[in-house]
Amino acid sequence: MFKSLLVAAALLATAMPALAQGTQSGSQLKSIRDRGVFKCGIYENVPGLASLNAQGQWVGFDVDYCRGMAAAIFGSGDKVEFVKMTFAQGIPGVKSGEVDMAGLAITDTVGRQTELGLDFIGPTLFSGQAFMVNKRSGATKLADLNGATICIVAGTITDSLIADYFRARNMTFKSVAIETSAQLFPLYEEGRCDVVTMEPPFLATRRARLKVPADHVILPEFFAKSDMGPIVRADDVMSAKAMKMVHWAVVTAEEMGITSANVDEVAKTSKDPAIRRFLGVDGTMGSKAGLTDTFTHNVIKAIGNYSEIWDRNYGKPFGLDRGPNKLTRDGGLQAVPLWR
Amino acid sequence: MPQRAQRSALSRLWGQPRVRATVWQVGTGLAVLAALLWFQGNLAANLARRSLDLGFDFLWGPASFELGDNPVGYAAGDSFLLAFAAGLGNTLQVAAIGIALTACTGVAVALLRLSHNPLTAGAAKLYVEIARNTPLLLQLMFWHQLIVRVLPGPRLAWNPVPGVFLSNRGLIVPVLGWQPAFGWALAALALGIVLAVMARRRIAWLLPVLLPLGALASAQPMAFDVPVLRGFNFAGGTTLSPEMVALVWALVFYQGSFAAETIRGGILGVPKGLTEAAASLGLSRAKATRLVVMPLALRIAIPPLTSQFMSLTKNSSLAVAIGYPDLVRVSNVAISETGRAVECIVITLAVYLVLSLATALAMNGWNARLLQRGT
Repeated sequence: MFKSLLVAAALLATAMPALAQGTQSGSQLKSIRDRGVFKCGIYENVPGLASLNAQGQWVGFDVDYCRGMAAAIFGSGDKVEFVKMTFAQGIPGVKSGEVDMAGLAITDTVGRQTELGLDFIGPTLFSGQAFMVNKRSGATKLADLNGATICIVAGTITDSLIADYFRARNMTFKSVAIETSAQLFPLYEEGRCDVVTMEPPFLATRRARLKVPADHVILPEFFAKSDMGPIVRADDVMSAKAMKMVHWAVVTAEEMGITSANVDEVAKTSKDPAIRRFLGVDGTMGSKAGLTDTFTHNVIKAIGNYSEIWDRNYGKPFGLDRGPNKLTRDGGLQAVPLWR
Repeated sequence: MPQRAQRSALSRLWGQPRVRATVWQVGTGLAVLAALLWFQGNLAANLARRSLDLGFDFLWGPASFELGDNPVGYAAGDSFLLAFAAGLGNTLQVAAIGIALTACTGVAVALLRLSHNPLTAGAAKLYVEIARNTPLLLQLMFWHQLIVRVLPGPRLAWNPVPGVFLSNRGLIVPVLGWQPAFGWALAALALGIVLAVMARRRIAWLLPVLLPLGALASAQPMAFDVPVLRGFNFAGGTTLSPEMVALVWALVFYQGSFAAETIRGGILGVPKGLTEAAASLGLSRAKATRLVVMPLALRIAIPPLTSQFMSLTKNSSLAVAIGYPDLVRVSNVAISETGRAVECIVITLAVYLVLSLATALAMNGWNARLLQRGT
């Protein structure tokens, strides 16, 4: 209640002239530069996506994208102000300008792009909606879930997708809608609900932290696709495009074999015109997009290429396979425009 | 000369307190109106600049999320309007039960705390101090966790009476299958009460008992909808969810302690001479409390109790923390599905405002009646 009131208050407050920032094309980037810091909405504690490490620093997949944005705009990945949010706060937060970007693994949908006026970076993460159940329940496929009590994060697309799925098949379920996934999993573990639903990467990272991970099984079927990414406002086309280029840059870097470790070396020694253009040694592609020519260099230096980001947040800590998130040349879906 | 006469007429007019008051009030009213218009204009201009628009058309669109049990019968696919009504129904349900139980708890604990038995008085004091000195949100989560952790899963549900199951999915009880005779019985009950009130005779109160019984005589044999464990959950019967129990319990536990202190203050505010007079008339302690002390104590206690009942209604919005599907839950889903943040928050605020004003109105009415009766 109070959180959503705060969001509404923020929405109203930004509507006031004193606080309002311009929305003319490209001006969002300018106002971020004037402010000197990139405001990024993240979850408070979703392992893999955003959490605090033992040193008190924010780490996670979407946290890396926040740092990447700061590196692209300011040349330093540290100029980020992290704003902790729940899922339901993300969309109003971006629309009101409370944050410049919300890295909340929000599912890309047509309605959110058109009706809600949002633009998506990526998708940075291709996945689907899946269920996790306790092995004791004996459920092995989606059809076994009739009549189940299902725990969901309130206000997410799952909230409505799941209702559609069950309604279409004349199945029933009871929902228990909780505000954050940090509260949801203890309830699932204590048996308040039979099933918990989310994208498999997040189910897997959460399962790793349950008391007996082996007791829980993620059903192999998806009941809907879910391709996710950080969201930004769509009304400022050039600024949104500049932020999308950060994702394009990390994937292109992986294609070219450039990593955070070798980027300085490659920029100095490479004779390959494609790489020289990409790193801004030659040409003015970066500045034409409203950033600096060498922003790609700064981004790679700060957060590495896509494969490094994956390994750091999902691969090493949780042993997650990249699955559909491989590069297109490796049979995956991670495709970005040719850097030219 | 005429100029001077005019000025003195004006200043004479200004000299009248009533004129001065009117001028000031009209001036202040205009200033407030201007400020509101300015805010509204700003809001409109800035929303337009961010290409956002305000409108309540989305309320008629289909809402595709499940809310769980609700008195309105909303299900996924119905309109957002119905979803809001369902959320409101759930909020009202909790508020009504909560207020009734809080009043009972308040009176009981206040009397216990004033008892001469040190053990009872001490226990009541301990409860009050614990309940009102810890945050409500924590209490709410504590009770919810307690219910979910302590009670067994549905397959091991406690089955104290055939057909009644208690598990961490809630309390599940059989319900009577609905038949038209029940409708007639309800109508007969209402009619009986109206007749009894009109008759102003004590014997007439038999009517609301006898009339529904007569209506029920025409009923078919009773058919119970008995819950059975099927697959994951119980099918049939009706469910009192752990969230609702935890929410009502926590609200009553917390707000009851404040009500108890308010009522205790009211009781102690009754002049000692009156209780002594009641005793000298030969009234027993119980009778004196019921006939003399409580009516006077209520006069003192009702205004502060009113605001406590209002805060109970408003505090019920904390339900979101444990997943009870109240008005705020509907508003949150509507915001993320339609992006209508301003509208949804306005609806929510307006509903809580109306609920609070209605509570205040009812309580003030009761207060006025008490004062009029001059007991």
